Amino acid sequence: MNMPPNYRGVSEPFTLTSNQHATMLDVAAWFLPDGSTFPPVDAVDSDGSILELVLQELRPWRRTIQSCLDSAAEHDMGSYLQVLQQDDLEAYEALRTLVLGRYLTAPEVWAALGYTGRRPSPIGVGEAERWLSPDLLQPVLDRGKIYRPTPSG
Amino acid sequence: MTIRRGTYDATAFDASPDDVADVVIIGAGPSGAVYAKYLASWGFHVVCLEQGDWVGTAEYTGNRQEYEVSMYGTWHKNGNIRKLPSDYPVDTSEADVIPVMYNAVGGGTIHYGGHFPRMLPSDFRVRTLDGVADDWPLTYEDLAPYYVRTEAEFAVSAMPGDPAYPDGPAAPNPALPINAYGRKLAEGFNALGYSWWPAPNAITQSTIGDLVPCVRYGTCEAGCPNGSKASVDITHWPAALKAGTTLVTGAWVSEVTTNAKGLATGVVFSDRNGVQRRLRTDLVVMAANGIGTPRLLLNSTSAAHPNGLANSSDLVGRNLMLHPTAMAVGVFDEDMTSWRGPAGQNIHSYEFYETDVSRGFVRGAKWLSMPTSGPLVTSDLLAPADRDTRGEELLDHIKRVMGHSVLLVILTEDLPHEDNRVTLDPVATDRHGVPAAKVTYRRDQNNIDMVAWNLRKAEEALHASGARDVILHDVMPDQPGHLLGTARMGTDPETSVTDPFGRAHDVSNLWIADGSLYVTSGGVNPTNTIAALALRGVTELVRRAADQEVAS
Ligand SMILES: Cc1cc2nc3c(=O)[nH]c(=O)nc-3n(C[C@H](O)[C@H](O)[C@H](O)COP(=O)(O)OP(=O)(O)OC[C@H]3O[C@@H](n4cnc5c(N)ncnc54)[C@H](O)[C@@H]3O)c2cc1C
Ligand code: SF4
Repeated sequence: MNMPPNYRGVSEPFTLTSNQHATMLDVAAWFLPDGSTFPPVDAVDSDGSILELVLQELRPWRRTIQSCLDSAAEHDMGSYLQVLQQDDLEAYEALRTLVLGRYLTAPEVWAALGYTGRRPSPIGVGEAERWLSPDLLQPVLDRGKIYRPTPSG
Repeated sequence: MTIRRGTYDATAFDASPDDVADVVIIGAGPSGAVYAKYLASWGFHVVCLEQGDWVGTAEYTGNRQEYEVSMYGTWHKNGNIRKLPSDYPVDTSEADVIPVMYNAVGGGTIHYGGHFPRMLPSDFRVRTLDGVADDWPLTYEDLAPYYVRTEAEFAVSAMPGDPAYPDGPAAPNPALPINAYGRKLAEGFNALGYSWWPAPNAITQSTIGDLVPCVRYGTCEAGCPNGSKASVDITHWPAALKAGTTLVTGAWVSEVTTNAKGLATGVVFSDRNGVQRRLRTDLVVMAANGIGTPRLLLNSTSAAHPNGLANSSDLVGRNLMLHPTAMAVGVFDEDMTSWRGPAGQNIHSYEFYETDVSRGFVRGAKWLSMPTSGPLVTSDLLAPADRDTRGEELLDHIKRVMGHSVLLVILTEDLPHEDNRVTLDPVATDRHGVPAAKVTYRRDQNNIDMVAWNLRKAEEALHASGARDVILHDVMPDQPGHLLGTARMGTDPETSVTDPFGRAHDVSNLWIADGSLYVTSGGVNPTNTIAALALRGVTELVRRAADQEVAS
């Protein structure tokens, strides 16, 4: 079928200046300070490819994120984010999604969390029956119909 | 010049002012698609005008790394946030629940979870059985044959014999596996003596038409990247186009025009460059959903219809129902790989669906379980205090919940109220200067009590299933995209907008096809019912075609 073009992606691309990028890493470090179990926040996405994907998907938040990063650069990060959370929850959430999104999209973080999703997992022969056996539905069947019949017509 | 067949962008629309379509359909979601496919099969030349575009399977993020982030941005459910070129603004500042939608060929089925239940017999008889709201002008039995055909067209997976419903023929696919987390919840339901069943989904397990078997990414709500979820761009539009339909994308309809007799004569629409066009037609079908349809009708005023088209009852836009939806998250010790899809509903229970006045409210809720998602979405499932933690503490909470949880979703019935309504925004407009929709929607005490009661029961049920913790989420503002009731059907022109098939009482060549027709909301996901009602409506339209009054 010959489909007309799709205009979904038609908007300005979303990139960060080097200052905004540095502030983004500071925001990330505030939300995700280093610990001992999970990869450090500045060790993931070393080539910036995940950030690029994340920014593309967060295009609707471009102005909000860019202006927050510009303002955050001029303040102590902790107090800036606390005030932002109180005064402009939407903007706070956008920043949170940016830095958590970047971190939680990294394969090494998925591995540390034990996440193996988003892979095809075709349904095996007999699998549906296996989850229902033996007789998981028997009590339901024994009880029988539960709907309220209505006079028809 | 005659109107070209096939699908193309509105900028390429080149019909002449003398061309008259047999039928113009506004909106290419499931209701519009059902009308188009059926009418085209009877030889009518249908022109569907859709403001959105086609979305190809390859554009979906569900099998990509960035999927979760996309749900917060370009694939956000809320068009006010997503702000795609195809979205129009909806003022929700006075709404307890935000009406979400997707504007594209396929409409909401691009974004939907494919949950595909029928309404129950009692849903059509709410006034008779429970003394509230109104009865529908049709019964479950009237709609049942159309449900059967709809479930075939949407390649439904379901298990026959559900005790919550009258018996009927088997769906084209068996039920999907309930997975470890569905089994866990079912064991708890069994312990409490609750009825439950593997839930029906419009997700195929066999190759049917252009659909291919589901591989359980569990990311269905940002479009199925595998082409397994029955969205009507795959299930209906190719057949409609093959039969000669014209589907024009990027076509923003602003008005339905009428003549002195009040009959519909055509539509006015703009292309993406703002060029305004007109198209004449014998018949108009509104399929723009429970927000878009009243918006357009209210914007189509004339001497014959000073309050908006088909609005002599003053009911256009009123009685908006949105199915407030809450959720209980059960956290278990066992790893149940609970992100495994589809998402899709997993098992459902109608234990608390029917009225029991001792609970302090009338009507009830459907319970359904769903998979969790990946780590980012899981961070939003946490209890507020845990969500506010940082670093290792936050990541530990995510790890504890992700893969170990069952989402028990409570989808509630909301009753119709005339003050819950869609009006034209006095200030905001879309990109073409057409007034935005304004939504006023307040939950009533009956619904507030219903949600609170069901959350308590859901907590008990999850504990009975062995959950260590249960996290309760009260009504979620941007769920669930069910837009109902704003041009209700009925037999009396003073208390309804259309007849029992969807033909407007006031305008005999105007039909309404979408969820606006609902009289009461029931407590189940609506697309099966919307599509079945559309099939019933269009069947009647064709039956009456020989006597149809037209303007030209
Ligand atoms: C995130 C999400 C999840 C959902 N999950 C489920 C589910 O699991 N199960 C279920 O049953 N339902 C679900 N729904 C609801 C389901 O999508 C809708 O019930 C269904 O799509 C309604 O069909 P419709 O044809 O009435 O309207 P829509 O599908 O909304 O289609 C209307 C179309 O009209 C177009 N339109 C509107 N105004 C104009 C105009 N002025 N000019 C031109 N075109 C116009 C729109 O662009 C749109 O494409 C979900 C919805 C969302 C958003
Ligand atoms: S779970 Fe199935 S239907 Fe859902 S996105 Fe994956 S393949 Fe598609």
